[in-house]
Amino acid sequence: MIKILLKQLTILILSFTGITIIFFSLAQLVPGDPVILHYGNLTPGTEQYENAYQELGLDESLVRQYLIFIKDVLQGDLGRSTVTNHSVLEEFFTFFPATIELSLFAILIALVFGVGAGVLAAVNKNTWIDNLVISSSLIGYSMPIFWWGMLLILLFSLNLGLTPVAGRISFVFDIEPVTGFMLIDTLLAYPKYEFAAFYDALLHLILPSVVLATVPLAVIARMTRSAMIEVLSADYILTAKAKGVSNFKIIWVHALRNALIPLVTVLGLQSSVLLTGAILTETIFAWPGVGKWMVEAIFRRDYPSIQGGVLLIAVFVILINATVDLLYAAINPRMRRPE
Amino acid sequence: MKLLHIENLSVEFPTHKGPVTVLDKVSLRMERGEVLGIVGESGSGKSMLALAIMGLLAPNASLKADYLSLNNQDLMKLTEEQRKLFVAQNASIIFQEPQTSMNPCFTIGRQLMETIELHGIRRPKKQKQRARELLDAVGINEPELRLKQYPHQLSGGMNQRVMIAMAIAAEPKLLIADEPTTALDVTIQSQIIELLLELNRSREMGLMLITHDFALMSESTQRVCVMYSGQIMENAPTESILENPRHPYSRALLDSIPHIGERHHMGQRLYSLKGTIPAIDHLPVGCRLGPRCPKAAKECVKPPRLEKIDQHGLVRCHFPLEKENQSEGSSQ
Repeated sequence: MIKILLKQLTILILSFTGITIIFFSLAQLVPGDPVILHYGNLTPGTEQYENAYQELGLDESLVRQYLIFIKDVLQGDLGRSTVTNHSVLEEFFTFFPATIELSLFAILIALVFGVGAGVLAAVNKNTWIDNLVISSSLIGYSMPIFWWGMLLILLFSLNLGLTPVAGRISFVFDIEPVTGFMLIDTLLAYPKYEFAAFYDALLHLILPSVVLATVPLAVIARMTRSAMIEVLSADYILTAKAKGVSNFKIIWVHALRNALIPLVTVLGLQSSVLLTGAILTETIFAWPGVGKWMVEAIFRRDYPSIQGGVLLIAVFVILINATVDLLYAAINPRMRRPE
Repeated sequence: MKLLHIENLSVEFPTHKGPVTVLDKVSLRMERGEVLGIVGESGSGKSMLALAIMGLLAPNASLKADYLSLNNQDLMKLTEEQRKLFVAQNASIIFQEPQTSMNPCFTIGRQLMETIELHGIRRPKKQKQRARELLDAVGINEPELRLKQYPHQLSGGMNQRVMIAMAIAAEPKLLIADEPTTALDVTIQSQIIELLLELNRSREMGLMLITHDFALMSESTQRVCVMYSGQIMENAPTESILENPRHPYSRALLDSIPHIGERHHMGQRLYSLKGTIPAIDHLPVGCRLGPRCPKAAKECVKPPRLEKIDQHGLVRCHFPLEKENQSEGSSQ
């Protein structure tokens, strides 16, 4: 286990270095004079311009500039937003909990319904249930999620009036952000609105997380189905049947436990899909998360925010994948060393 | 007291060309504590027979039988659920590949204890105690350590012993061993067979040994059924078959065994039947061995019946080999 941990740590450091190098190079490619981008319209050649040039460290070699950049990043200094003049890191983490809340909820929906549908399809292979699961997962996978989101808003919010159109909570509730997770914060503010605020936050969460969950759900359903079909034809399933293990236990314990192994890998790959999807979903539902924050930064040409945001998201994807690899080793006994 | 009594058991599978019959009216009986051998090439339906007895056929298979009883209980009269329960309590099966026959995600202990729990021992402490006893009974040392290990951490032979431990957990009256040694090293093979025979003696447990290895059969069984293409071709005491096989197919199987000490001249090939076993959806007319049989004649286009030959057993052939013809047929 220690060996696996060390290996993961090495991969982590290597990918982080890779990402920062790519990042640093991209920053060099941003069009326009960096001095003007940072300090407004200075005329090259003037003393002011030269001072600014030195202050930004542009007179140093590229390697030194990179090392300075790394030092700043490691110290948590990602620069300041050119629009709000707040620290990029602080802004990112103000908006991040909303994205995490949305993504966690989405992945929960995707897992529960995706695995459920996949198992159901595998057990009823080549029946109408199987066909229904396969075809709806294909539709779910191919549908543009911004369009799907709008359709759901049209149906559930506008026509049926069941869910709110946008945001995390209604304006009537005044919730103090303690953790940044609305579901938790509404519970922390308990006596103030009883459960009304929590319920309202939950209602706000449902539609966006369903939209965000759609693609991962489809992928998980298909993956579970094929993994389960393979596992169910294995010899040890026959052994379990011969022993007299109940069908329910064979499917949900013996078979699913083995089918989970390939599924975990897919889950890791879906994490980046999820964060990309979050950008679209948050924009549609006016969800105040990092996705929406990044889109706004792009429209305002707020380069430090864009760069900092993308770097942080990349780091999170790496972290998630490292966790998933560890999880993979934990649930697959064959990955552990023989004793 | 019959341990196993099968009359005209047939198994059909639907295909896009229509149903194919993989087992054709198989009948056999086993006494309590008997060791019966089922021998035949791959594709002869011997594993299918084992699965049919255990009720492990794929759901699209259809099973028909005039009579099918295990331990004096008519299985055809039970509902699906009752049957599953009864068979699990009275019969066990072990397979060819011990490594893939155990769940790779669960420890040996968990799989053993699951079986033990299914047979009525509820308390975990007692389950563990029983698991240790069982591992001991199949000759596994350090049972405490093995219980915590995963199947991939054990050798093939050791895994097969664990499979056997799992199989005898229910104290079954019948153990079906479907090619239990094919995937193992030769030295381990005899150990496993010896273990099975010892359990057969000490627990009065009937043993159905399925194999394509006639040599293995000759040492351990009392009676042999020779199967070909889903039919029983010959059913007789092991000694009679070894000394004097009456079916040309049994003869061919025996002649294809290389003998130690018997020098083979350079270039002389081991005896084998011409051709291969026919595809189950494309069987020859009449006798299924027909196109490959050295003794085939005009009459063989009519399907032969399994008929009794005095002082021998049952043979399905129009022209059974005579007693004095012992060496004929091997000269090819």
